[in-house]
Amino acid sequence: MGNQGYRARQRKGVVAFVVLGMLTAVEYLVAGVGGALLLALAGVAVLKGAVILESFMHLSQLWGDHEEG
Amino acid sequence: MTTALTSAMAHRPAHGGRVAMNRLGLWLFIASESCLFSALIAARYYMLGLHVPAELNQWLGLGLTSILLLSSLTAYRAEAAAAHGDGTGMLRGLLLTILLGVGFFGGVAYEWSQAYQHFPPDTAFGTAFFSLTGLHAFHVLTGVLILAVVYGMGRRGAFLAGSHWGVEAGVKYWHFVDVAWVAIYPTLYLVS
Repeated sequence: MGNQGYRARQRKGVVAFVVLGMLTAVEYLVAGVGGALLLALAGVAVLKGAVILESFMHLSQLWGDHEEG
Repeated sequence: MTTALTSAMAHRPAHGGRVAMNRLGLWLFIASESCLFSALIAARYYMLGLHVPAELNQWLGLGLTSILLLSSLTAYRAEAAAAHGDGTGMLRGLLLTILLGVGFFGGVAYEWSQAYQHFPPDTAFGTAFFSLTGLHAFHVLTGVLILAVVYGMGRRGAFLAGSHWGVEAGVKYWHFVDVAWVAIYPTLYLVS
């Protein structure tokens, strides 16, 4: 991976961050609507966790053949 | 997990195999830490149902969440920079993450000073609030310390000659702190 790979990786981080920001906004707005929307909030939280686990923490490395590090 | 263990123990070059084992060990550690947070979150719902006091500072909660999400991006960029031999980018990313972590810690301290007046630790919500935010703040503090050590090692050029496992481990721990907050934020601030 050269410079292009590096830039692609940086871009991937920004995309994940934007998605997380949007999900947080949805979460905040859903809570503002009122009512016990526990399932909706839990769903958004699970999605946010999944984005962080896969995009930032590379969870799938555990099953893959990545050896960097 | 069995697949991961088998994969980690398969015949590989010495360094790669060690990193795979280190990575698996870190994930197991993170899984065990998750159980601790899960138990406290479950206790909060068991004790209080969906009750949230109106005095909670919602803007501060949202601000703290934003700071932590941004710090995950800077930590990610630091790791990516280390993986590609960009020492300057790595140090910049680590420093920004540390500063955001300190900012988050300051925000929690301010939140505590406010919360103490409205729901002290001897009330039901206070118990849940101070336990969860206290445990999380402790992890933020240890995360900042770990990243500071990694930053110091990075300044001496420790991660550019080959392995950057130290950066990866510190950053993964930091992301875990973020994941924990992703669960804590709606639990304490948003459900109703």
